[in-house]
Amino acid sequence: MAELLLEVRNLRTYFELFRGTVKAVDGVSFTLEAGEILGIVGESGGGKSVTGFSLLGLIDPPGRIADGEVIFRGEDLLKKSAEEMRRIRGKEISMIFQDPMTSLNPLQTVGRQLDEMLALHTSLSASQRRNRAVELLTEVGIPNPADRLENYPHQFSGGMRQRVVIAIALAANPGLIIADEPTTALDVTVQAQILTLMENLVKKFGSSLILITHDLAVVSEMTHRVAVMYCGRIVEEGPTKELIRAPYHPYTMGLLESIPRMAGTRLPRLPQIPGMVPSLFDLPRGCSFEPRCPRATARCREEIPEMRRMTGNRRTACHNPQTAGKEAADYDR
Amino acid sequence: MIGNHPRENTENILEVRDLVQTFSQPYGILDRLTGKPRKTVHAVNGVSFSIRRKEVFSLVGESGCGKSTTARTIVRLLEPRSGSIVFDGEDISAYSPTRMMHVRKKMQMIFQDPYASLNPRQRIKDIIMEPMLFHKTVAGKEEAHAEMYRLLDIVGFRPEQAERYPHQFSGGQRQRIGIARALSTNPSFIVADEPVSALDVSIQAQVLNLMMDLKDEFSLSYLFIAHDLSVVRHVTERLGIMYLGFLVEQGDRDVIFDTPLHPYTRALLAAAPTLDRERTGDPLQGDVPSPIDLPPGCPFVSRCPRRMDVCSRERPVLRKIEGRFAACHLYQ
Repeated sequence: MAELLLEVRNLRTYFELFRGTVKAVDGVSFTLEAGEILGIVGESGGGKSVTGFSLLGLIDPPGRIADGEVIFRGEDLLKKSAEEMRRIRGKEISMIFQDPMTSLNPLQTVGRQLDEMLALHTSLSASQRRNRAVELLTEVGIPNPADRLENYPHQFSGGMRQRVVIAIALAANPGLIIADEPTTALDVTVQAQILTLMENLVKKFGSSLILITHDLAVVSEMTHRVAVMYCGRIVEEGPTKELIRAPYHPYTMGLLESIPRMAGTRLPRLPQIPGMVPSLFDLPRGCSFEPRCPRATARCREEIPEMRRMTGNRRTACHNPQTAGKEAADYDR
Repeated sequence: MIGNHPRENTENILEVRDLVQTFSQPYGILDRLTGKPRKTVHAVNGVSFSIRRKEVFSLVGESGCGKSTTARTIVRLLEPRSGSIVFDGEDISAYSPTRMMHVRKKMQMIFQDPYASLNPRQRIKDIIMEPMLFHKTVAGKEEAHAEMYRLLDIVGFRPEQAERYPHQFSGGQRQRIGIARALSTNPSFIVADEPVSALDVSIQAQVLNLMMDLKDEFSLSYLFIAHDLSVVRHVTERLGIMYLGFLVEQGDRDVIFDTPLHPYTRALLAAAPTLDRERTGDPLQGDVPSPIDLPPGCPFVSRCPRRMDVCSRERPVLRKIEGRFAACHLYQ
């Protein structure tokens, strides 16, 4: 078994708003091994991005981390001071965001932004930093890297900009990279380039990756393990291939079923999950998915299901999980 | 553009021939003083296709390929630079805005962003009644009200929700309101420009199912614009693949998805992430070139893994090959 890099225990991130408390992340626990790629998947409002921000302590008021532990390399990040966190961000854990245009400074050259990262987190001299910057741009596949250091972000295409962001994220060789919808703004052929690049670099640099996305197809191609989030909780977690082949939770099943396929039989109608995500101000008393769930029973209305261990290193929080291998006949076609 | 035109018959609701659309880049006084050349963006370069009655035809491609511009030109939100647009037997390509009026009620549009395409200050009932009253497809207010409630029911709303404003609805609900508005003038043809790409997957399935139900119920034809190939495969009967303003391949859904011929179509299909397969092969390299200076030869030459000498010299035309049309020198 590989070394445990990160352990998140019972994380709760709440937003205290005028209308009430939004429990954006409500008791999330998961682990990550060194070199592992974990996908966090779900629809908007599921709490996947807030989970990512919480790990880095990037929650501003009215939000607050109400409870939990984020154990990274044996130390609880939630107990660190702001100063200590500043040293960890970028050096130990870095983040890649959806929109490369907003995560780069438009007024600084790409070279200067790379240099800032290296100056902050390494002890290299100015000329060594420049060489390293060229190396990094080469690593992420940017042609003429030495000349490109002098360019500003707007002089790059969307895909190239995301490559720059990845180079900056990798600059201090962090143990963990959190990528929040890194390819959602990109075209499919460019998305394929960036995903392949990230996969190769994570392997080469020996980092772990948390990939936050709404796209189950991307998760299925990229990740070793996946956690499915719904209304602030993880509803199912397990090795990606097994989970996608035979999901336990009806929400996972519903998500998978509602994606049209690229090959094979074409269904006349897409199986759909009825209704919509409930308001986070007004969650159901029991399981949050109960109002939309085809397998719901009286118990689901009353009692929030606890996460429990299933076969083969898998977990789910459901009172009536789908038995493995059962065909999905519960959603109306 | 010379070449065979796919299909020519009167069963078509829409026939587009050699459609060209260009945009001039802003040319300011400083550009004039410094003698900079005027720049033109070649957005759509001689696109031809037709859509049969009660058919779904899709245009697919990546951003900047001209699919949305083609759609907007067809509904005459933009003046075509050249080429013809024949809708329901009428050549509308040179129609004045007044003459377009009676055509427009027959062709409606559904937009990508359900947050930007509804007026936030209008109640749902007014949003849906306005087109009927404007185009006089109803006799008066009373009939408009009845029709509005009927449409709301069809897209799945309760009558009392008609009094609400757009901000009181979710993205998927707003898209259904947009659909009800498009149906309000009883159109025969709907242009749907990325109608589900802003929606979550579970909601996407709901909206796609609704659109397909309505197609049968109202005998609609759709021009469907999308970048998500799995969605296109689900809804469409035929499709065209666009690159840099050119149609590079077009044909029946199963022919294109099962045996794509054009190297770009192949790359696009291979790049789309799927649940049921591993990523194979190397992704397509490079970016889409600028539509300002079009390459003299094949638009795809700079990224094509199978390019030949002829490709940078001569522009390939769409030809019928193996049951579809493809514009590629490999098959000429």
